[in-house]
Amino acid sequence: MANVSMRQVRKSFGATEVIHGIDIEIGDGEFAVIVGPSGCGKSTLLRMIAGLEAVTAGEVAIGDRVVNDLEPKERDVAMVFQNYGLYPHMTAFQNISYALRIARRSKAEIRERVERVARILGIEDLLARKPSQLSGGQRQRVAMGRAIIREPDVFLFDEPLSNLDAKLRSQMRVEIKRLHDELKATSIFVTHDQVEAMTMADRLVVMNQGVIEQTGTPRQVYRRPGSTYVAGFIGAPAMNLLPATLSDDGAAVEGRGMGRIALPNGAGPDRSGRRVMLGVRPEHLAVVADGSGGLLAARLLYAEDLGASRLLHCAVGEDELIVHTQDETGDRPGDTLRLAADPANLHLFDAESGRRLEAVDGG
Amino acid sequence: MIERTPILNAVTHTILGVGLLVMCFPLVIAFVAATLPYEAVIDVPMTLIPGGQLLENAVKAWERGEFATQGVNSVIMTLGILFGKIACASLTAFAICYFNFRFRMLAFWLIFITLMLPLEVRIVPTYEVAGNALLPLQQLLDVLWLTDLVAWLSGVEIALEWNLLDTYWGLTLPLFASATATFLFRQFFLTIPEELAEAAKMDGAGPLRFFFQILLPLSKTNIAALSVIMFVFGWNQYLWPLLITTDPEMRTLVMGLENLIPSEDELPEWNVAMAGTLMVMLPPIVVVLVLQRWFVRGLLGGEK
Repeated sequence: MANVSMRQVRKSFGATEVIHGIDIEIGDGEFAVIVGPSGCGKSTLLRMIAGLEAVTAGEVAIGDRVVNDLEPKERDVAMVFQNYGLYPHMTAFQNISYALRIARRSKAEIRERVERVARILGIEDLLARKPSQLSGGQRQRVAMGRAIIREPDVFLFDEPLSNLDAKLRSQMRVEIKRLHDELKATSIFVTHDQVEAMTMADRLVVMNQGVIEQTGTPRQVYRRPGSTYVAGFIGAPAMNLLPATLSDDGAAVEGRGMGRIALPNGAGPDRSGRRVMLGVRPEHLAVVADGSGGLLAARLLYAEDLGASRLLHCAVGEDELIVHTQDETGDRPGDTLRLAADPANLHLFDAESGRRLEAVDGG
Repeated sequence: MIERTPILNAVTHTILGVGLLVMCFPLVIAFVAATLPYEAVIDVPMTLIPGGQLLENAVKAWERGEFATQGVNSVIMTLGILFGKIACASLTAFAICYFNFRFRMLAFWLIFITLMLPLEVRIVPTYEVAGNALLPLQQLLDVLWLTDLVAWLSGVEIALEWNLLDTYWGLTLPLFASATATFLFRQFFLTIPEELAEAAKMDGAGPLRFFFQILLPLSKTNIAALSVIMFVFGWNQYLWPLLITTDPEMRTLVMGLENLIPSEDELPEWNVAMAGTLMVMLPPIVVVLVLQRWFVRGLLGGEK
């Protein structure tokens, strides 16, 4: 068991720097999810912890050991790969036991440990099969078995679910989480899927272009996204962002196609006239009856019926926004809808930097 | 292509047939001659109907050509070249594919260029080196004045010598390096997902363990295909053994055939010569027939 910390970690490939100085502290036993779009450096970060990629500058520590110059096998970490990385010519049993066989453990111990791991993962019947005779989900389990059997300090997962179909993926999500509760080992999970990130993380790390945009619990990140980038990335459908301007007294915003919207806390007069982005999540918008006030008027473009709820795609001036509602009124495209939201659920971001304006924090 | 073209079919089959005939006719002649008694084989024109003397001719050829000694030599040389080439090529390709060292690409291209330098082209310098395999080292020492230095310091004259002439090492070692095999291994290694090497690293496997326990088992089909090519290549070596061996005890079968070919003042016993030829041809044919399934699979790079 160990915590993982990275201090001012940088990574360059040739002249291009892909990781620009990252600081993370992941606590012992924590399940951290690093999420970001492809190419943001999240896998590189993971591979630096694993020791598969050299650290250009900064420090990576596991427990109280700085591991920058240690070989992967000396770091006491195990990794589950995106394409499983199973040895095709070995059976599941041989795959899982390979690390132990290298470490020259006794036959009896190996057999006992493999069987225990197989029982945890429910793959007792598959041990004699080769990877080519296993389905995607089964291969995934064998790959996890190979990691678990070493009883490492830290588990690293590199997008392990991205090759599974949707149903299996949600099933494995729960299983990995359950496993973590059982084993209590520090885990770092890399994904580009924000649903995986939200559901699995104790701690969410949102990355973009080689820097960390925000860290926090999934709830914190969802409730108070630190930037327009995070706001758009976490939550599906994405948060609506409308350009607006702070009023002179800083207590309200005005924008194209919407009236004056009062802010509960105000932004202070020193920010008056500033260009901002007004953010509101689709699920926080509600359709209200005509004439009962509301936030703004929007023209319905089309509605998607998801069964349990509906997504209303609307236009406000030239901007589009989405309303996620359980309301089943029979509105038709072209109708004008009055939309309302609790002011507490409004977010303000600086239009230039994209950072959250904390003074008007509603959440 | 699936097309219905009877005329084209007929034409292609004719071409195939002619090609087959051209290829096989010499073999048929050799076979028929090998079965004939001496009187029939010197008839002009020779009959094309096989006789019943095959076994007698074969036995005669076996004794006259000293096939027992030469056969052993041939097998040792062929297998030596085979294993040497595969060991050499797989290790080289491993180094080029999995290690990031300076001048890696230069090394690769230097190896690749030797494709254009078959043994025949470099046979004179190779022979010189075979005369003393340590000659390059000696020359290096000489150039660096180290020989003189040591001679001056200790009074011992350094004279390195390792003569390969008339040895099995001489027959095989100069043929170990193979750009073709290295290239084939490299291409195969490039198709192996990087994750495998990384997973092995995480599991605590060092480079050599990875090579022997993961890369080589995965290369099985590849090695089988190469073995077929290299077996035929090794077996058919003629020029090099001819050059490097003078001792009759070191001759190989392919060289020995020459003994069977009648010279001017002997009986022209072509039947015996042909029986010998057939026997010498047999091992490569058997190897190709037995391993052809693997051969095709290995070259196509398919896993089952």
